[in-house]
Amino acid sequence: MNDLSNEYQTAVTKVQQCRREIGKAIIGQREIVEQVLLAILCDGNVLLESVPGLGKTELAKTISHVLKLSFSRIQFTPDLMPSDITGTTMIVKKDGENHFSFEKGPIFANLVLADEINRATPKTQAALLEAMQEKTVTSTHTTYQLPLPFMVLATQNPIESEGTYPLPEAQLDRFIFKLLVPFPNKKELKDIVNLTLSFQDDLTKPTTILSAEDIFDIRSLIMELPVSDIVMDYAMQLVLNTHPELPNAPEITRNYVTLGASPRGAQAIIRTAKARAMLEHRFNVSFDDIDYVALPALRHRISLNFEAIQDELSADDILIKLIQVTHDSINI
Amino acid sequence: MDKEIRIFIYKLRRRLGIQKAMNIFPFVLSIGFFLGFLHILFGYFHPFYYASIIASFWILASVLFGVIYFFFHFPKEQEAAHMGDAIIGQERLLTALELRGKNEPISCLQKKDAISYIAVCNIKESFPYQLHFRQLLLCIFMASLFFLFLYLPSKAKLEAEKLHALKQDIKEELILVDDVEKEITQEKISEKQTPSALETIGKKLDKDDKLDTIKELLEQTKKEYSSVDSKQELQKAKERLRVKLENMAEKETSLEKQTTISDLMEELGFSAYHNLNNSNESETTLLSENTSALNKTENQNETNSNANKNYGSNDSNDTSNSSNNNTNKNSSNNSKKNTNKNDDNTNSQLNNSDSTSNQSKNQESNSSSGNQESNKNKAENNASNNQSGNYKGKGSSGNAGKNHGSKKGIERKSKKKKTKEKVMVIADATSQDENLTGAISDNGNSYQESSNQQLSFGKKENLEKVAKEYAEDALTTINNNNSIPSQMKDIVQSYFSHID
Repeated sequence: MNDLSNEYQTAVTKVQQCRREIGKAIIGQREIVEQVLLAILCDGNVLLESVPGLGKTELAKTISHVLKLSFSRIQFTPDLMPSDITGTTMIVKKDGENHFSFEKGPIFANLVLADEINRATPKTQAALLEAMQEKTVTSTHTTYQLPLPFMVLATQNPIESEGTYPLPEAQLDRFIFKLLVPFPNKKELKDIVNLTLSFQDDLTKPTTILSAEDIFDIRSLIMELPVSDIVMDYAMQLVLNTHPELPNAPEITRNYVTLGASPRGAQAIIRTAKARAMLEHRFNVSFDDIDYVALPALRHRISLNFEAIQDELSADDILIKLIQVTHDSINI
Repeated sequence: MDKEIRIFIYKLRRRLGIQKAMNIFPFVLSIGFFLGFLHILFGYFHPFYYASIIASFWILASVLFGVIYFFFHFPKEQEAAHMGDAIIGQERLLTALELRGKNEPISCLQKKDAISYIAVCNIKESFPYQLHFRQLLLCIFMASLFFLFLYLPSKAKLEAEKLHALKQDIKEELILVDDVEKEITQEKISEKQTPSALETIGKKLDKDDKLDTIKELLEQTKKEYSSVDSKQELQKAKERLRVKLENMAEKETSLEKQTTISDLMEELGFSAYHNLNNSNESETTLLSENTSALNKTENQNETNSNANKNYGSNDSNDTSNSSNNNTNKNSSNNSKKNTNKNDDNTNSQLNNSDSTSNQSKNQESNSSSGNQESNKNKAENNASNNQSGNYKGKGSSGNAGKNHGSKKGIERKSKKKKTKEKVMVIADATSQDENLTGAISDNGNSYQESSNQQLSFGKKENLEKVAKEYAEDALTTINNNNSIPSQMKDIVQSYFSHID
């Protein structure tokens, strides 16, 4: 028991160190960094939504450096082809003979930054589906294993709508979190400017803390954490409350939601809640953990109708209301 | 670790339970007191004996309801753990509760983590008892109203108590009547079912079967009892029953039947029928016999008074009285056939031969010798002095009545030992009582003298007619007199109604 306790303690300490190291390169955005780390520790993919210039690429690079993960960046454009992502088979001359050789695409990295993913065509977007879910790529009847741990950090611009292709629900469902990167405040902006426009010595640069093996160990520790039945019921009820077709659906769901969260949403909530509980030095999941991860885990999994758009209600507004309703319905 | 968690949760449950009780009971008691107060208020203005009992029932019911509600809503472990997590935080206690009995490393780690927080948690400080003052004040207010009106006297309450007491009396009487009825029915049934007992029962009961008559009488009485609404009426009804039973007994010729009726009367709470007899003599005949004996005595006394005038001494009085004794003895011989169960009456009859009283009566009789009315009056006076009339007078005590001795009279010792024993017996030619000899005396001073003079018969009147006229006169007098209290009038009316 002491060993296990030490393991947990070590894991938490290292993750906290990672957070601090990332903070050296990324000013502010503590919650975003924490949630990205949670997603990595839970073997999930993240969709970042923000205006350009908020350091999304820098974040991905820094994380990959601190976690000693290989990094690749894919800039999605409308003319991007699936093979540009996954790789393609090329004819290669070897030993005087021509052979077909699969050239791995940029997706073959631990951490893939899919920048402006909504600019690519659905066909190209679909190329990521298998990689994100199965961690494999199939080309000409051959399946290639992606390097583990594998994570896709996709970004999209909420402003531009022309020439973009909204991600299908099936693909959105494969992201464990959808994070809304906020614009930095004045102090943070000042710090950003100071940091980027001044000389940085090695001490200010982030260092590598974790490795891939450490990440796997931490993942196994996270999966062991117990969840009480009441907390589990609460999480499930929250997911069920997003479905308007169910008889006991709350009024807000019936009024504004067309499609509710899938079971992947419930998995995402519990997994990430466990990770958060561990990082909070606890050995059990609480209601607070569920509330914390509910928004990033469900906001991209529910579809709103025109009435919600007309009433200027976002997914977050509805989810906050649903969390309140679910809390009130707890029967202990 | 499980034990520590269990103990902590137990303490939490207890604390929460007490808090719940403090929340529930004032509210529930307020309702109970309010409902009880309504009943008490009703009983305050309207006679209702059971108002306080029903009010107490409401309070008890509210307490019982509170206990049952509390029992079913006693905080469960999960509820207590959830409340505990409000202090400890983050569902540690809830998870530890669910992991009871599990020994995986992570479960032990979690429980250890929870216990570390439990150790620094103070339940008393974290969950102080909270009183709902409004509820408490309401409860106190309702309780004070309740007790105030409970103990405040009122006219309606007194009336209710009186009515209740009357109903209890009626109930008791009805029970007695029912018992007697059952006894009669059982005897009838046993008569049918056990032919061997027929002989015994047949001796006791006549074949023309007075049982039905008695049963009818008892049924009527039950109806009467049910319709009374005052103690006086109940007493009157009881008295009517007693009189009717007595009349029934009087009309009976068989001693056994009379005994049966007397037993029934005893069972009904009345005194036993006293005038059990085996004689066929009518009361009128008895009265006439006694009257004739008294007349004889009177004549004798006339002679004696002359002697008294000459002597003026007690001795002569003794002499005269001794002759009176003889006449009295004779009259008592004549009434020998009549039995007298009451020794007092016998004694009083003998004591009537006391020198002083006899002398005065003899003087009265001498002054109006040969006057039939005076003889009658004398008989009446004797009757009133004896408390046993030779006429059919019935006093309210029930002891008044016939005083017919059929057994040997017992000569009592005179108080004045120095004087000679005097027994005045009315001589009657038709009397055959030879038992009164007057010979029982320690001193041997008694002697008897017989007188040949007989009492003359007075004017014969129908007793019922006389009694009716007497009653009418009396009732008219008291009804026309406003100074007599109403209760006294009721007593007199009751007395005369019994005569009927």
